[in-house]
Amino acid sequence: MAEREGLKDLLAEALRAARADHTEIRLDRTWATAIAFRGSRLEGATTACEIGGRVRCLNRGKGWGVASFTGVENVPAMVLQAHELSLAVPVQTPISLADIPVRSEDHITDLDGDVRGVTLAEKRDLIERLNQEMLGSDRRIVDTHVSYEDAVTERWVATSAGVMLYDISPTVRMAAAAVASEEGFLERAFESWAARGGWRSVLSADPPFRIAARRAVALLAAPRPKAGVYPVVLDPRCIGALVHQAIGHLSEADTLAERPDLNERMRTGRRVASDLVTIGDDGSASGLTGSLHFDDEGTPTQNTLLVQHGVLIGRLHTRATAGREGTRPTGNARAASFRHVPEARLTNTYVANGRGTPEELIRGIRYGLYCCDAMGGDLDHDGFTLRTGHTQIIRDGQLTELARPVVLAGDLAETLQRVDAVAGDFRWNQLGTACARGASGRIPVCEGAPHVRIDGLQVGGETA
Amino acid sequence: MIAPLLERASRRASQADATLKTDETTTLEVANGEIAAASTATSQGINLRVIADGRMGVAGAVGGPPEELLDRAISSAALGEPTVLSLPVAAPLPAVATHVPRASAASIAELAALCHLIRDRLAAEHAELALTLERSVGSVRVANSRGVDASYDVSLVSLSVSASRIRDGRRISMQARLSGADLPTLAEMEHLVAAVRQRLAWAERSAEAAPGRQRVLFLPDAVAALLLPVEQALSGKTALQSHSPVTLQRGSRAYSKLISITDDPLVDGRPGSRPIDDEAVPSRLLTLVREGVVEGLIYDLETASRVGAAPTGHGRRSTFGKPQPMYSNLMLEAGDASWDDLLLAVGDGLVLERLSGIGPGNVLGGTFASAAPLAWRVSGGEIVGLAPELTVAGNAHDLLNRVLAVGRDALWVGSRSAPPIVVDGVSVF
Repeated sequence: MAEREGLKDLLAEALRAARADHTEIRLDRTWATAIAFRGSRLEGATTACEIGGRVRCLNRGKGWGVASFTGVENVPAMVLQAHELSLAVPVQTPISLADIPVRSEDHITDLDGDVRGVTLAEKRDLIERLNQEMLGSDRRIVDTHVSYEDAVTERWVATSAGVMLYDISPTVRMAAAAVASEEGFLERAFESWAARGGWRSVLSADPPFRIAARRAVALLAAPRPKAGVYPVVLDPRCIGALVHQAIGHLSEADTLAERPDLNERMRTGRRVASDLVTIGDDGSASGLTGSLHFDDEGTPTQNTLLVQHGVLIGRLHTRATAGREGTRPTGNARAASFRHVPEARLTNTYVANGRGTPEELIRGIRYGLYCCDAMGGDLDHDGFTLRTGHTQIIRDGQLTELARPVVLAGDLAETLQRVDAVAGDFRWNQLGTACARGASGRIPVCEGAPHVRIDGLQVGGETA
Repeated sequence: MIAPLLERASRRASQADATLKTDETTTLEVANGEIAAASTATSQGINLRVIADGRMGVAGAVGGPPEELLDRAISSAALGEPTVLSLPVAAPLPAVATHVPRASAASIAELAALCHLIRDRLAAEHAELALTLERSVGSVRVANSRGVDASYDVSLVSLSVSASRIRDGRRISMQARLSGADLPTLAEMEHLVAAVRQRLAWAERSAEAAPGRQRVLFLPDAVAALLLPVEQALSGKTALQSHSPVTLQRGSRAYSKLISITDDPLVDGRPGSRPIDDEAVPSRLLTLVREGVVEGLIYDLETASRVGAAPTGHGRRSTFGKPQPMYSNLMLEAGDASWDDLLLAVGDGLVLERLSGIGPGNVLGGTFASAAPLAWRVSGGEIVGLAPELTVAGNAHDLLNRVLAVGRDALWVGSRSAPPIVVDGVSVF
C-alpha cells in the first residue's frame, strides 16, 4: 500500500516536471513463477521479479518519443529522454490523441489465494501429480510437457493530463502436451487452462490433461479425413480462433491504417458474415484472461461491437487511431509489458449466442466434420488457414470416429457468410491463449463463442 | 554487483554462476515516408544459478534489488533435479569483434540519416515502405564461483525494409534485412536496395501456377525456414529428450553431400558473435554437418553432463529460467553455383523467397505445409513472372537430401547465414 502510493507520488512528481505536450508513464511490477516437467523430469522451477516502466512523449508537429527502462530510479531522466526523442523526429502528418476521462482510480482485484504465499514445492507437487496421471494413463504415452505459470502483476498508468490509475491482478495458467507412440508413429494432444485468479482457482481447477493423454493415444489409430469441401461444425474454441484471425485482427484500426488495401474489405457497413453472426470485443468482461479495467494508455475498457448481424459496424482503437478517425478510443491500446508500445489489440473477442444445441447443428449434416480447438493459423491477403486440434467425423447427423487434425482454409470475405447456424451454448474459452503482434508483443487474450455451422469449408486433410 | 552476489552464494551453495546483461536499444521506425517514432529501451537483468546439495536452482531479477535473488535460487535448487555438472574454470578467451565504437556512438540524427537514405533510394519504386532501424549497445558479464569473471561489449545495428505493392488486388510484400555490429556500409545498403528493386521488377509480370512436384530454388530466407527442423534435431537437448525417429546421431549420413553446416561464434561482428557463452565456456567453431554427415550437436553444460558429452559452449541464458542450448551464428556453407547456374539447375520450377512459418505442428519431424506468399515461376532457366499464392509441402529433412545445387553467395539473415539452394521434387499446390 505504502509502496503503491509511493510510486504514484514518484510518477506525479516526474509528470509535473514533464515538458512535452503529452507525457504518459506506465510502470509494471511483476512477480511470477514457472514450473515445467518434461516426461517425469522436472525441467525447472523458478520465480522471477521484475519492475520497470516506459515513458511516451508527444509534441506538436513531432512524432512519438519513447523511453523504456528497468528499475524505477531514473524516471525523471527517462521523461526528459522521451521528450528529447520526440523533438528529434519532426512529422508532416500530425498525430492527435483523442481525449480520455481524467481520473484517479485503484482497482484491487481479490488475489484469490495469493500465489506469492504458496511455496514452490506445493506448486511442484500439484503439477507433478497431474503429470504422473498423464504418464501413467497408458503405456503408449511416451512423453509429456507440462507447465504451470502464475503471476501477480501491478500496473500504474499516469499522464500529464492528470490520469492516475493503478491495478493489481493475479493470473494462473496450466498447459500440457501428451505424446503417444506406437510402431514408430507419434501423435500429440494439447490442453490448457487459465484464469484471472490465484491459488484457490488452481486448487479447484481440474485441467483436462487426462483427456489430452487419452486423445493422443486415440489419434494413433485415427483416420485422416479426406480433403475436400464439406459442412463443418466448429466448437467454441475453433470458431473463436477463426474469428480472432479473420475479423478480430482486421478490426484493429492501426492495422487497417497500415494496410490501405484492406479499407474496402473492412469498410463500415459492409456485409462480412451471414445475419446470424454478431461479433464483438469486450475488455470489460469480468475475470477473463483478456480483461482489463483500463488499457495501457489509461482508457477504460468497454464492449465494442465489430459485426452486427453480419455487417461491420465497429473498430478497435488506441488514442491515436481514434484521434485520426475522429472517434472515441475503445480501450484496446495494449502492450505486453513496459518493454512494448501500445497498439490496437484484441481483448476478449466473442461470437454472440444463437439458438439451439450443438446436436441440432450436427443433426443436419450427412457427411461433414466436427472441428475442435485450434493450434494456430495464418492470414494472407484473401484467405486464412487454421489448423484444428482434433476432429470427429459426422455421418448421417451423428458424431462418429475421432480423426486427425486438419487444416481449414477459406476466403476471408466468404467463409463467415456461409454460417448457416449458430447454437445457443455460448462459453468463454479459458485457455490462456496469447496473441503476438509487432511492437506491442505477446498479450493474453480470450475468445468466446457458441458452436457454429458453416455449410461448406475447404478441409485440407491431414497435417503433420 | 555480481562479485558480492557470487561470494554470498558460495557460502550457501557448492557452486554458483551468474550473468549480468545490460542493453540500450534505440529504434527508429519509418512509416508513410517519415519517422513517426523514436524509442530507447534500457534494461539490466541478472540470472543466478546455484548448485546446492547436488541440485541446481536458478532465479532471475530485472530492476529489483538482488538481495532476495539468492534466496529464490536456493529454494529453486531444493526442488531441482540432481546434477553432477561442474562449472568451468577460467581459460583464455578467443578474439572476436562484438562491438564497434562508431556504431554505439552514432547519434539519433546519424541513424535517421541511414533511414532516409534507404527511403529516398527506394522512392522511385512507388512501393509502400516500412523501415525499422534498431541499434543496441550493451554488455555481457559472465562469472562463476570457480574464478571466471569475463565480460564483453556488444553493439548490433539491424535495418529491415518491407516494400509492398498491390497488384491485381493482391498485396505483394518483399522484405530485406541487414544486421551487424557496425553501421551498415554504403555498399551493403546499395545491395539491399538492389535486392528490393530486383524483386519488385520480377513481380511486374504474372505467371501461371504449375502445381505438382518440381525443382525449387530456395532463397536464403526460405532456406533459413527449412533449417529450423535441422536446428532442433541437432540440439543435444532434443536428442536427449526426443522420441522422434528423425533424431540425428553423430556419424550418420543425414543430408545431401552438398550440405555442410557449422555454428561459429567467432565470426566478427554478427548477431551471434561472442568470445564466451553464458555458462563461461570459451567459444569455438563447431562443425555440425560435414558433407551431409552429422559431426556434432550443440550442448549446454547440463545437457552435456547428462549425456556424458563435452560441452560445446552453447549455453544461453535469458534473465529468467535456466540455461538452454542455443546456436550462435548458424551457417550453411556456400557452394560454387552462380545465380545463372542455379536458375539453370531449376530449369522449369520456382524461386521461393520465403515460407510463412514452418510449424506450429511438429517442427522437429520436419514435415510442413506452408504458405509461400512470394514465389516466381522459372521456365527454361529464366524467371518469367510472379507465381500466384501457393502452398509448399514436404519434409525439410527429406528435402535437404535432394539438393541439386548450392549457391556461392551466402546471405546473412539475422544470425543465420545461408546461400540459395536448389531442391528437387518439392511438392507445390
